[in-house]
Amino acid sequence: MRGDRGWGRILPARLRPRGVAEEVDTELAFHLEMRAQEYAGRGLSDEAARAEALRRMGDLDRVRGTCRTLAEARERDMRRAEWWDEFRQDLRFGARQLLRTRGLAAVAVLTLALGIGATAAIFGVVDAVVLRPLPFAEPERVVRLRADGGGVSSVSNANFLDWQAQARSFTAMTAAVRTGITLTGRDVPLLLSDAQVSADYFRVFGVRPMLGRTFVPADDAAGAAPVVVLSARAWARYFASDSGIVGRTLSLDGVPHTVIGVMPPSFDYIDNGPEAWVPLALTPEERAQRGASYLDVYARLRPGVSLREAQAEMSAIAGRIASAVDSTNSPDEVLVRPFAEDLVGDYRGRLLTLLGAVGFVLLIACANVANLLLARGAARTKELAIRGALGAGRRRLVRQLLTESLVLALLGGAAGALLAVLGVRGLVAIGPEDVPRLDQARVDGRVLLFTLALAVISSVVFGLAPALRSARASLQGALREGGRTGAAGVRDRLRGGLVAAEVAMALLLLTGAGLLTRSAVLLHQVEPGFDPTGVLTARIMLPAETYPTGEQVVHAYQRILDEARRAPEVASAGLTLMVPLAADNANAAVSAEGQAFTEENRPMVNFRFTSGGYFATMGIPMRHGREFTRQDAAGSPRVAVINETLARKLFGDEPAVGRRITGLTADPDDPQWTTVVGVVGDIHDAGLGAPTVPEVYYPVAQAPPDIWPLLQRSLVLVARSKTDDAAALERPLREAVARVDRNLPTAKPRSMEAYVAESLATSRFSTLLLGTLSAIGLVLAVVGIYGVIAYFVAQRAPEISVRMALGATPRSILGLVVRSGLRPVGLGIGVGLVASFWLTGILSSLLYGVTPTDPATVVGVVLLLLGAAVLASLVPARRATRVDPARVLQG
Amino acid sequence: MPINTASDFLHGTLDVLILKTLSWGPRHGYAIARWLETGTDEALQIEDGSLYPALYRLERKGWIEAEWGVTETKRRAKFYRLSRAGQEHLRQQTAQWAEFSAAVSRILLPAT
Repeated sequence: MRGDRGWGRILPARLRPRGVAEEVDTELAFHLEMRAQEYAGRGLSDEAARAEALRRMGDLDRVRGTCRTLAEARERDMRRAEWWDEFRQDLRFGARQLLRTRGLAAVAVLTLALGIGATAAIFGVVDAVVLRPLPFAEPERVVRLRADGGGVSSVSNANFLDWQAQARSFTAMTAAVRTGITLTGRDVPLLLSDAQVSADYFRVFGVRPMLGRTFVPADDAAGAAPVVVLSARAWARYFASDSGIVGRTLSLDGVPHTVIGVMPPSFDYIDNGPEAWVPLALTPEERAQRGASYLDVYARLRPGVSLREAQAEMSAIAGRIASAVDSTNSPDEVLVRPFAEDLVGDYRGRLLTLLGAVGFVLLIACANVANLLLARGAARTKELAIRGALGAGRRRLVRQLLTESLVLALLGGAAGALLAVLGVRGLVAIGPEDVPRLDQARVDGRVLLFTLALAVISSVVFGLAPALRSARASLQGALREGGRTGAAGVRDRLRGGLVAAEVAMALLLLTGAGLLTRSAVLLHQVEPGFDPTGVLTARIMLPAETYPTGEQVVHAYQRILDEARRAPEVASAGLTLMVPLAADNANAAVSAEGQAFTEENRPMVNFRFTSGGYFATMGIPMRHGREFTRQDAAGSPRVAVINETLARKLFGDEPAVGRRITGLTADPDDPQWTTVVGVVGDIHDAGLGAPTVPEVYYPVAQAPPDIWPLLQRSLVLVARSKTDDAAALERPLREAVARVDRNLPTAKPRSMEAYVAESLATSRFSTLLLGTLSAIGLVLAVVGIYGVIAYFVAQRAPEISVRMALGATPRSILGLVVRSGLRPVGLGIGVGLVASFWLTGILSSLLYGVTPTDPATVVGVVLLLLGAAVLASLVPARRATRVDPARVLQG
Repeated sequence: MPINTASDFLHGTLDVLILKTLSWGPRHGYAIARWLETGTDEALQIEDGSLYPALYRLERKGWIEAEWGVTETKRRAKFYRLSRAGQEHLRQQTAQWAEFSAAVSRILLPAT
């Protein structure tokens, strides 16, 4: 077509205008010139002709601009289309390549699936527990205020009210106390876990009710008509999600309460949250109370106020209050912490550590796959050289190889996502019960997106180095040299480096796991100070309506204890304010007679009310003196039992029995002198890993009568079974309680063995997980070492043959191969050791009884890695000794 | 035939005319302009300033393709050629135009 019009010669590239702008200019210039010629032909002067041509063009600059923009847009379109086209080509080609090397692809995909799956699973848990925002409005504004100093983090009524009145940093502040409340008027009385909260509670959390309304200030006034807000969980479980519940009356602790609202299911954000909320409704006397601290205080930060500013204001307020009132009853410092941080507590650190550890596993997997690809790259040198010779640039080759890596990684990611689903389920199943929101962990869109990102990033991490190497090798005339020697030396160094990195990371993982394992073993060996075998515990709560006075409370507990002891299954029984390891605590100041009544002399110690028989039942040894008896009654001389730590603290080496200490609510005018009648062994009260602390025990019958309302009139009944089976006591204890008061609910009884197991669960969880991760890391690293040595043997078969032909013994060949394999391993161990000194410090808060640089652990891990490396290199090394020199050298 | 605005209509018309011009063979921008002028007996004066953006637009849409070449007078010029997609588009537009003008004619020029 072009030919028959006579102008059809395509310009050679060098004559073509370069760039869009120049093209447009050249084209328009040509046009103007032609027009000018046209007009000149009609008889215009050159000048007039040019002017006329310009006039016909109109606004030349605008035309030029429009044309350039359009041309650039077209170029972009084309480049994009080309890119996608090539991408599709590469994908197809990559898939064909993988199908051709099915075995290698399967190993790579499995390795990646392991790494990506493990990482995604841990991320799923971290996301649910730590990262996902709480279901509140602007959850980052919700803070918890804790008293600091004196060992008690709870807040007294008067202090809370002062804070609320004075603080300007918050839009709302609220106090809550978790208790239990009895729902009667049904077949069986039900113990609901509830919270008494001040009016602004729901405003602080910024959550609206699903039905009805929440509290207004009038509900929170003393003497107001009792109302209750139900959780969605309780509403569904006990009231069959009755939509007409609002306005109904429930009997709670024997008092009719009107249901005013139901919260949405999202507000049940933790497993063991409150099932119902009732107003705190402090009476005027209670409002003045500063001595007992039991309130949890939460607040919502005012917009624009930072945590630091709020903290500064609260510190100032606490200082003011402490100097204005008796300082022993008011904390000198208040800690303002984000609520989410307070909720997740120390699991945040644990989980993020695990996420870091699993990242190492993924990196080891990537290093392994990179090694596999390098080995394949060597085999593909020829193919790539041909492609290079056919005009594919280095960039193009690298892109093609990276696309192949992407295909691998996406397959690995898909398999990894399946593994993650199983992994998250497993983690939820074995996780400790008290990890908040762990039950909500699942592989959802966020986790899948994370998995996809992992796969894409991994493909670059493991694919880039092999791709660059292969592409470079291909341009080095690999064809000529037969594709054998090419860049073997360079590649060996890279492969050695990858193995060293794998070994270093495996060493880090193993060291971490080793330290945690040793901690767990040591923790298991800790003597708790009591004997948990066959001991069952059940918390009892007496309603204020039936048991208004302290005397009645003590009498009821005495009867319950008598009834429990009468059961044939019960060997012994006792009562206590709180059992060890239960995460409850109560503190009071205590000083000895003869010392000045000053703050320094009055350390805060744990106090417990116990009955006679408690120490025997719990298996806490009496070191000196006696247990409480029935004679230690309300009107009798005050007595106490102290533990060894407190005895040492107050009396040094002198005998403590017979000495006197201050009573629970002592003040300088009335020290309430109390005679120490016994000394008991120390127990690990706050957790097996926690140190033992001073403790004082007072008899239940001598508890100050006005303290019972603060304690919810609640004690724990403990009983030891005649057999070792704690569960056998459940029925007898329930029946014993029912014989005293048929309307008394007992919370689900719990064995002391369960408390011990739970105390170990957290450490076991971390140990098990890090152990699993490091085992995966070790296996992958060993596979990597094996791969490199096998490659080394294959590459150097001719050299080995020559050596053997020249008389080298199999032993010396074995040595040669193993040594060459151990060089990168040694390097990796060195690097890993240096890094471990830096990194294991992170674990120090999770360790018990070992230092982060525990020599035994480090030596053990190094020996384990070296042994594994030797084993991994022995297999290919033995193959090397069986090389047949004649065959190799002929071939 | 969807006609939204006058300028749409003009764009569309100019585009179709360019495609038609190129259907007889490749030519450069000036040749297209000349062809349009002579082909319509100078009845249709196209401003040169709107011709080139139209060409670039058509090129981006893939209806025409361009190549640099030399003219008979040995000058560098950009030659445009109808693509396969352009041929198809021209066929459709021509058919639509026939339909449209027939419909308009039935109203404006009723058979007497």
